[in-house]
Amino acid sequence: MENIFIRQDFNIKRGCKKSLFCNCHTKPGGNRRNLSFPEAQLDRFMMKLSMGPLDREEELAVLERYMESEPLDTLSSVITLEELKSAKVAASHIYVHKCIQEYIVDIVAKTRKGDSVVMGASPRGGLALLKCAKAYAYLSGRTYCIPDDVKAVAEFVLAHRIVLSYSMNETNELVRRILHNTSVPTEEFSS
Amino acid sequence: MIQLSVFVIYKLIGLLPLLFNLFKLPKAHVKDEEVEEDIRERYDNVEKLGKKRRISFPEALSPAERIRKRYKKKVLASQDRIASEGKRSDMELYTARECSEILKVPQMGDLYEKARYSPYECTVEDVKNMKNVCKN
Repeated sequence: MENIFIRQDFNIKRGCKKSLFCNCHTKPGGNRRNLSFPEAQLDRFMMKLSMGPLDREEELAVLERYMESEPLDTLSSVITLEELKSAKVAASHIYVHKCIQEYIVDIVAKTRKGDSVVMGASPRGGLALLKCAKAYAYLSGRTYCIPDDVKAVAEFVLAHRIVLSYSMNETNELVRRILHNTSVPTEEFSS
Repeated sequence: MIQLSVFVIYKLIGLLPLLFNLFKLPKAHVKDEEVEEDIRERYDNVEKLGKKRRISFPEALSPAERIRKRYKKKVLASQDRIASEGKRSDMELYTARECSEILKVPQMGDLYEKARYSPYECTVEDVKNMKNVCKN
């Protein structure tokens, strides 16, 4: 999350450490009136992920896990702070070709077009998409970004930044459609 | 007498450049011919070397360009298959990875991505690999 501050008192604000993650949880199908953020604040969230409903097997596994013990008591960290910091630095050094940057700009620009779009993704959304694509490339073991990295994260990065006139839930579908119909920087096949 | 001798010396000095040119001119002509012959010989040699070293068009491209060219050729050749399986007719809408997955040649996508999006130089070995991969 960007521009984050912890408010300790009413008058004191302190900038958070760069390694801090801020997660906001909402119930699936939660009432939007109670859980809505202002659009400007939503734009500060890097990604919106949905775990989706559990299937029968997964629900059974949850019951079994909680049968005799509390899994949170034995929960341990999977990465140290130093490892996280070095991973962030390494991800920031991922090479992004100019054509990939243009591809990101094209996708973000398309979120602003259309009759049903009240508000498209901001330039901040484009920056977030670039950062996430770089992180995805890093986690895939590459030192350079490819269009597939952008495609893989675009829906989670852009959908919550778009406001449509008819339905809030259709934004994911809109991003999918944009990705489906945007030319990828490969070769010119038409000539 | 003195005046006469001064006059003769003066005349002789005046004749010196003429005598010098008389002796020099034939040599200069010979030199020019030699130079002309040399140039002709050199030109012939250059022509011969030029014929030997003439570079064909595909070799003039860099390895990355050759990989990209092969990829384009392969995709255009398999256009119908990609369009039917990917459900989009425009080939520019597909990523290299998507195309290579449809054509079941994952190496093609990897090599193309290296040539197109990476900062690294492709090698002749990469071109050979691309050639082999695209043959299948």
